[in-house]
Amino acid sequence: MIQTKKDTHKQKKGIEGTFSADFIGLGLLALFLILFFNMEKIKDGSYDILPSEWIHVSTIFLSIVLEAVPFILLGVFVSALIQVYIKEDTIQRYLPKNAYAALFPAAVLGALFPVCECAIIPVVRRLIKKGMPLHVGVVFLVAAPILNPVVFASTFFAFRSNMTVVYTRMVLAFILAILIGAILYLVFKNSNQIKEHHTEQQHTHDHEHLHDHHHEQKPGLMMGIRQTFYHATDEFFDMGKYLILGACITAMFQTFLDRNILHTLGSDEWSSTLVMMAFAYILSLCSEADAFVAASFGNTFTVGSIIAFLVYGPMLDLKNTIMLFACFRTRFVIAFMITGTVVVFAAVMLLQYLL
Amino acid sequence: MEEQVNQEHRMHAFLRGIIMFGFAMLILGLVISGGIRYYIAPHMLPFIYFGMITFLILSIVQIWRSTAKPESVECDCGADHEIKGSVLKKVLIYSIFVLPLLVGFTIPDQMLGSSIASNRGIQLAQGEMEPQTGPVSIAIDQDQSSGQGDQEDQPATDDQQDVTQQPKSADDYLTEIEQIRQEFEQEQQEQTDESYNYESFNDYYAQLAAQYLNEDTIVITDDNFLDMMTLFELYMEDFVGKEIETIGFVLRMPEFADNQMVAARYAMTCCVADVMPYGLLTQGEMTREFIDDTWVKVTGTLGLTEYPGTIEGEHPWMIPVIHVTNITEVDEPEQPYVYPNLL
Repeated sequence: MIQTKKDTHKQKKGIEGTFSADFIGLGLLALFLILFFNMEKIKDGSYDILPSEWIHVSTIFLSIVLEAVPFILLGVFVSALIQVYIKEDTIQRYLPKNAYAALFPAAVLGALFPVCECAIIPVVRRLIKKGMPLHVGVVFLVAAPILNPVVFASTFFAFRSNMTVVYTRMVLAFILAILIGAILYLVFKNSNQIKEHHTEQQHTHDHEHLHDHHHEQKPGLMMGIRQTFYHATDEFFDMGKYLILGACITAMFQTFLDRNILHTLGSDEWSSTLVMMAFAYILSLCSEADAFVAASFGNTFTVGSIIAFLVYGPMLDLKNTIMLFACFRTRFVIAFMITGTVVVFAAVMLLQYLL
Repeated sequence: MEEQVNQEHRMHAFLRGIIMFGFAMLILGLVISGGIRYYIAPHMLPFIYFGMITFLILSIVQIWRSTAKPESVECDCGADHEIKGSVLKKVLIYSIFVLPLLVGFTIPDQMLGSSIASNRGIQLAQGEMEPQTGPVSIAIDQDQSSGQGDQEDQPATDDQQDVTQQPKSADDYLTEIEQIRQEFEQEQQEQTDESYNYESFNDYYAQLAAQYLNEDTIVITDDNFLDMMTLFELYMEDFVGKEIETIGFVLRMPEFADNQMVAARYAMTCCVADVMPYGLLTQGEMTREFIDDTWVKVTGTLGLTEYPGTIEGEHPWMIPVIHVTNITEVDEPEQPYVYPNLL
């Protein structure tokens, strides 16, 4: 008796909530339309009101968001297609039986995936959920953003007078991806490191749900398209909030960090390598564009530290750390960050010693 | 219970649809007004169009989803997309998505100011050349003999002005230029074997250099700006004595002398996060009249000078310098940013 009363109450509240949500939604729609049609007037007016520092932060923030959003959309669409059309046994079938034997082909595949660091996270998360081993996913995470033709081209043009940088970046990324994958395999084996949001009850429900789909051979065309679209939207909202937060923090650093400090801090090979890695982390540049920024440091930083900047930045940065924490278990993300940092630093120091 | 879950789904679908519609509108607005050029480099625009169209389609699908039959509302991927928690948390999360929209619709579209440039450090075509190499030291002599060095700048500019303030003696002027060029060609020939390693330079720039070295006056435009900066970097000595015409915004770094400034441009590869200021050091009394961030057109003769560098103990760099003959204020160009040609 009490139970049903509670239920009706909840239901009523839920429906009321929907009404107010509809109201908010329509309000937002009206707001967007008003802003859209008065865009130029508002922008002219705000010129005098807003302090210039605030405009700078906002401009950089908006620019990063606008720049990253198409790639996140690409990423979530690939992820959605994998979810809808690729079966778990397909992945299992093509994987080598030996865990270490999978590392090399994974790095090669990573090179063929022309995606940047924003787009790769949802894709890797989805692949791991579909049964791809964790360490193979790690290799993708590290290799894909660096080893792709666009990044090679931009690095080439930025460092055309110093081809060592270009080749070292590519080769090092390839080797370190495999190395980091192997280390993380030693630590985590095949344990599940994906962050699960849903409760136990829902889990069983979903499992049945998925199971049903497996019996139908393939989703119908319309059904498949619809599922892909739904899924892409949901995942966009899942990842997007972390991207926007990351862009916000990055914009602050971009505006207020005086880069001359870097020169003061990084005086020898050790410290300059560390400083450039920290700098790459904070700046959160696209792997496509970071070569040009790195080239601007060519005069005052060692070649080794420039390479550290170019290899470390696409692997790990402020923007994608927040996204990683949202997708993977905290313990795993911290282990990944420590491994990545230590391996890149050690490799660059070794390289400087050898060269 | 089932009903309530469906209501939740509808609500989220509806709100998400509206927000995605907002993103499509923002991008459309920026594209129509042309404001997008202040945020994204032109070669990235296809991705932006892709984003805009995708947002539009997704928003329509979402709004349709919010009115669809209950069983088709969910996606089957394991319910990991739902926003759990209190109403406050939901409001906060959707606010995160509304924030860039509000920012985008309201902030003025403008280029980053010179304060950002001083944080990022300017690229003065200093190249990757060691300061002690042969051609550079000879070039210093050249600079000093024509301009009497850096400490005494006044005579240098006077010299330059003398040359240009007599438009009637154009022939004299040409012969003078010709003389300077001959001198340099001689010097070049003397040093080709050791100092110039043309093989290591990109063919593209070697050809471009040959093309521009034939011209007496080099006009730096939006399109060739970064190429010219690279050429000055690579073949600095060859360009000494050339007349240069360039535009940019006035920028001064803390280490500059009182009579120095740069007519700078920001170069953008993908977005504003990666812009770097580039420009040629400009020296002369006239520079004092122009305040930071003013757009100016600078004409003058190219020389070489020693740049003290920003860090103590650092080697001084040889950089090209424009000895000013004239500066005039101009309007901000249609495309305030410059972009690498090769991408």
